[in-house]
Amino acid sequence: MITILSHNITSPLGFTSQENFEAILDGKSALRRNISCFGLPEKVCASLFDRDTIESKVAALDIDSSRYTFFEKIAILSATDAIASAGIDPSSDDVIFIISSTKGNVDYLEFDEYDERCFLSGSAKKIADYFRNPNIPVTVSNACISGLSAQILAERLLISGQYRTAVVIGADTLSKFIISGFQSFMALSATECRPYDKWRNGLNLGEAAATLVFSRLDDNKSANYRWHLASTSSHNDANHISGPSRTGQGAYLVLKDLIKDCDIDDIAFINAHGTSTLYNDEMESIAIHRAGLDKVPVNGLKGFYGHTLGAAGIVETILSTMALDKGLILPTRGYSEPGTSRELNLDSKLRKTNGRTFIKLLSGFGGSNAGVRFIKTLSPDSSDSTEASASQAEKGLKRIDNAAINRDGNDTTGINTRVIDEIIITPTGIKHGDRSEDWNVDSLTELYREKCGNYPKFFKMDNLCKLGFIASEIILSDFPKEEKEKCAVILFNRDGSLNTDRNYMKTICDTTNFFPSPATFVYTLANIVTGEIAIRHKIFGETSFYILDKEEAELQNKIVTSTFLTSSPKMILTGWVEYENCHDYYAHFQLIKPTT
Amino acid sequence: MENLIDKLKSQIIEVLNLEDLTPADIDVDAPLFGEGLGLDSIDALELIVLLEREYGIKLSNPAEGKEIFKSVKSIADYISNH
Repeated sequence: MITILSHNITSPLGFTSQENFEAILDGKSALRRNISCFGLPEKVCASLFDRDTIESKVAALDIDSSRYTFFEKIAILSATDAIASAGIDPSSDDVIFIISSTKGNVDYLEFDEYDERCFLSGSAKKIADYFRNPNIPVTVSNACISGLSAQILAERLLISGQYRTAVVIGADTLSKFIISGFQSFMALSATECRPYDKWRNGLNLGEAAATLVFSRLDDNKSANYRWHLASTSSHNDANHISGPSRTGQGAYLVLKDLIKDCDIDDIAFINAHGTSTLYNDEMESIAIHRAGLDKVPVNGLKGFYGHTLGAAGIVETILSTMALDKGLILPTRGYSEPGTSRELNLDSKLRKTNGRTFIKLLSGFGGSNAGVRFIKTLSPDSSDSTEASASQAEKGLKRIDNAAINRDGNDTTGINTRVIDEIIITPTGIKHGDRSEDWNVDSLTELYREKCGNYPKFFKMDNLCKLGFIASEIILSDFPKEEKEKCAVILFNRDGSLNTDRNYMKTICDTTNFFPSPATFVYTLANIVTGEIAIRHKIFGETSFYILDKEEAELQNKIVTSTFLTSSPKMILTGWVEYENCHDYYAHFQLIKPTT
Repeated sequence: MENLIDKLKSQIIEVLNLEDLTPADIDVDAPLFGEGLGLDSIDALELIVLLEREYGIKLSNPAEGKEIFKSVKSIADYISNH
C-alpha cells in the first residue's frame, strides 16, 4: 500500500500546504486580471509568483541563486518543505525523485536555441542533486495529466520494491512561450475562469510547485490515519490531439477503473479537471454521467490558481486530502449556473461530507486522461479503528497488497515479460526483428511513403511524431483491433519536443512578426507522439511520456514492467524516440507482453 | 477574385500541410471541414492566424470562423469585404 508521508504547495497563495488551504477557505484566489507580462502583446488574467519573494525564500535557505533557474527554485523550495516534514533522508538510495512538468525551462530558448537548461532531464538532475539523491530522476511530461501520471509512476516504483520513498514534485512556470501558445488556441479567459458554468469562456494559467512524498505503508507508524492510493488509472481517448472526446471515452474508462472496488456512496467527491474551457468541462460531465457518478459531488479548483499545468494534479490532490481531513468539499470558485449538457453536483460554497475516499481526475492534450482515488484509513493501533468505512477502505487496497508479494525484495513485480517485436530506425537504416536494411532517404516523408499507408494527417505532424508514427505503424499494423484497443504506449526520450519547441519559438520571438502557431504549439508537448499513435491504432490504454538523461534499459524496463502491477494492458508499445534534425534521429521501439 | 482564390488555395495547402493536394484539387465551393478536406479544430485556428498574418484581419471569437471557413469561396468573400 502506498501512503502519503507529507506534502507542500508553493504558490502565490502561500508557501506551505496549510497556508494555501487557509487561503482557499478564506475565499482567496491567486488570479489577477489585466497583467502585462513577458513582453506579450495582450494582457492576461493569470496567477504569477512575485519574483522577489521567491528570491528571498531562496536566500533564506542559503541556495546559490545563480545556479538554479526560476523553475528549479520553486521546485526545490516546495520539495525542501515536504522532505523536512516527512523526516526522510533524501540522499538515501531507496528514495526516487519524480518530476512532473510540461515545459520546465523552455523560456530560455528565446535567447539561445541551444541553451542546455532547456532539457527537462537536466533540470530534474539538478533538483535531485540539490538533495544529494544518488538515483536517476524520472521526469513525467504528459501534458496536463502529468501530475497524476507522476503519482501513478510513484505507486508502481514503490510497489515493485525498488524504492521505499518517492518524492513527487510538480512544477511549471509561465512565460511568453506558454501563454502565447494557449492564446493561439483561443483557450484563455480574460477574466477569472468559471469551471462548469454556463458563462465559462476559457481557462487561466497559473504558476505553482507542489510536492507529495509517498512511502510504502510500513514507514508511517506514528500517524493515526493515513492517506493511501487506493486505485489509479490512465486511458487515451484515441480521438484527437487537442480536442477532448465528445463521448468522454478516456475519462469514462478511468472512472470505471477507479470505482471498481468501491461503493459509490463512499465517494466524498470527484475533484475534476474543470479548466473552464467549453469542451473540457462538457466532456467531463459526459464521462461522469456515463460512469454512473452523476449524484457524487464534483468540484474544480482552477478558480483559485488557474491551470498550474504540471503542478495541477499534485496541488489539487493535496488540497483534496486536506479538505477531507476536515470533512469538507472545497467550493468551485467561479461556478454559478449549470453549463454542461449533463448536470453535475457542483457548488460554489463549502460543503460537508462524511466520505473517506475521493477521486482526482485530469485530462489533457494528446487525448490523455488520468485519475487516482485516495482513501483515508485508520492505523491498526488507532482507537477509532472500529469504524465501518475502514474495512471498506481496505477492500480497495487488496489488489495492490497482492501485487507486492515481497516487500523486502529488490524486485517484487513477479511479472515476466517477453519482447514480441522490436524495431530501430535511424537516418541510415532500419532493423526490424531479424531483418536489417540500409537506406539513404532524405526525409521521414520519403520513409513514410515507402513503408506506410495512406494517412494524410501524417503531414501535419512534427518530426518527433512522424518518427514515432512510422515505427509504430510497422510494428502494429498487423495486430487485430481487440488487442490494440487494450495496448498501452509508454515512450521515453531526453529532450522532449525540443526540435518543435525551437520552431514554435520562431513564431513568437519577433514582436513585429508575432504570429504564434497553434498547429506548432500543440506539438511542443512531447506526449503528443503517444496520442498520434493512439489515434491511428485506436488504442484506449494508457499513454505516457517520460524523460531521462539517456537510454537507461534497466530503469525503462522497471517502469514499463511495473505498469502491469496496477493496470492490465494486453501489451505495451514502448521505447525511445528522439528527433534532432534529418541527419540525427533515433527510434527504438519494442512491443512487450506479460508472460505470467 | 480569381487571383485571391488561387493565392488562398496555395496558402491553405502550405499552412495546413496538405502535402498530397494541389490547388486544382480544391473545389472553391466544397466544404473545408468535416467531409470535404477533413480539416479539424487546429486547422481552423491556423486559418485564423493566416487571415491575420496575410490579410490583417483579426478574428477575436473563434465561433466567427465557422461561417467564414465554410469553403475557399466564403473565405475569399470575407477577405474582399474587409
